Amino acid sequence: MSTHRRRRWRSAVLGAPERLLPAGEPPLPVIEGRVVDSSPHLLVLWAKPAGGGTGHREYRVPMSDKTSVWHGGRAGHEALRPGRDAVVRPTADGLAADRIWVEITRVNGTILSVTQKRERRGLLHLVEVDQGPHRPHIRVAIPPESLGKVLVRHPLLLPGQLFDVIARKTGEEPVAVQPGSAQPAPLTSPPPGPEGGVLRGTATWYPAPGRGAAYPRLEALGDSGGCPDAPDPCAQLPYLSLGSALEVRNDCTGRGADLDVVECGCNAALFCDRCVECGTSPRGRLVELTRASFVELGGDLDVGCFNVSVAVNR
Amino acid sequence: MTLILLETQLLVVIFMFALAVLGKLHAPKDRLKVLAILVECALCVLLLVSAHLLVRLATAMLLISATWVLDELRVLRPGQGCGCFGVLSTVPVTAMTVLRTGLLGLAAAAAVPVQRAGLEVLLDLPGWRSMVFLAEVGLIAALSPEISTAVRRRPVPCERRAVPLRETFAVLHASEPWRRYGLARRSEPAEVWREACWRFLVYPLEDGGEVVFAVSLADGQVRAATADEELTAPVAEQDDLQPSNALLTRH
Repeated sequence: MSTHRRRRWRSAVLGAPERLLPAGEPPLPVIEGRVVDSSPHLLVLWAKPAGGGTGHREYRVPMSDKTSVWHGGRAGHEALRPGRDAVVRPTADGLAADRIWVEITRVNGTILSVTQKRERRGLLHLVEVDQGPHRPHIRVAIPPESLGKVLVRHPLLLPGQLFDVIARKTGEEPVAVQPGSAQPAPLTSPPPGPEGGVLRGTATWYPAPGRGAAYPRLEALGDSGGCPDAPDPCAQLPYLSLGSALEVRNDCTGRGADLDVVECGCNAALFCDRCVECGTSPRGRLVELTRASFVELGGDLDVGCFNVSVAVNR
Repeated sequence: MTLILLETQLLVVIFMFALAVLGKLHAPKDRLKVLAILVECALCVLLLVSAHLLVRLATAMLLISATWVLDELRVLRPGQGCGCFGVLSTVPVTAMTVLRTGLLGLAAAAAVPVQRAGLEVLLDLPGWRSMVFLAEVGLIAALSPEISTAVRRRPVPCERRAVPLRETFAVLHASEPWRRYGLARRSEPAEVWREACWRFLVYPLEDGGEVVFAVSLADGQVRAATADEELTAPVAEQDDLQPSNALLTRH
């Protein structure tokens, strides 16, 4: 199945799709790859072009004293060690790196088990998480210094509870740093449906390479790519398929891009939370973006979400 | 009067089981839901035809256990509905839902010593019993979030409606575009996918080409287009976002 082919089939039979969102700011030229070398003024990365394509290339990224580095929290340039995974977002003028996230990942899903291990620093919580049918089960460690922050959003660390943390990759299991977004609050009433084909809610990210979006309501019939046991999403989303085109706009930065659906976001369907990045979004995760797509629209990976508008042609 | 009160409890429990079975029958089913339907249906029938103590005790125990389970669900899965009355019970469990099941458990416990079967009591319904019955059902309705859900329900728009593939095939096979391409009814589509209110089906043609049909799930409209060379040609992956040259230098 080629996503481009489906898009062109659709245009051939129904005509060019109508654009539902006004043209916004263009996406930023994000780059994600492995650190080859770094100095206080230059970062060298071995990376694939953000749009896909074959082969890797070496990229040299100028850095200024305003460049901010994340490595489990604000870090210095010494975090940019060779071999480490990094995502770079440029400044608006495109002249230097604005933010660099090093070894950042995210773990979200349903808790399978929680075990505790006593260490010198205190109790280490090890949480086994079911990330849905398309992603592997993973174990994440919550160190004592992060436990308080995680418990604010996830007061019940019990099997069956939803769990979402931003974490730092290590040689072993990822280490939780902070909760992924606003709390997975209970649903009191269904959120409003789309206004003129435009849905509003929350966009989050998941640790996948390249560009694209995981969408929580893919049809399970035919070759659409959905899961038969997927839960009904919190937001009132239309049925789509792998390869469907989405117009996605970050309502906080005004940056927009056309993205393909590349994965079933069954996991996102479970969450009924809001993003409070700029105002309070309606409930429900509309899309999970890959790291590069999230950052190119101006999202901060360590914040975990942004308020989003998503348009789908009906 | 006490006897009337106790006997009416039996009717209330039977009525609520019947509603629960009806609600669940009109909702998507999995193995657990089918089991729940069978159990509730069996108890409903047994309560109607039998005055056996075991049936009454089993009913009371089931409802009291359900109260405990719902209270756990309210705390541990705060966003989840109980599914008690099928699709109407998708709103999260609240203290009112727990209270309602608890009251039904008490009603079932109160009906344990009743000597007559449900059908015999039902035949005596007119009079005081009917007034008590209506008052209790009214109280339970007031505690039920399903009532407001039922009032607010609107038809599901086409983009969110589950439509079986066989319905799409039936519409497609009866359409003029399908006849125009002279495909056999047994032909299997090479690819089927859905985008909101449209389902797309790609079929290979005898001349080696392909035809795509778009079937509207809103009004049954069918459109078709054949593949031209541009469509069938392999598509190269696009580098649709290159890092800016101003920022990055490549080696």
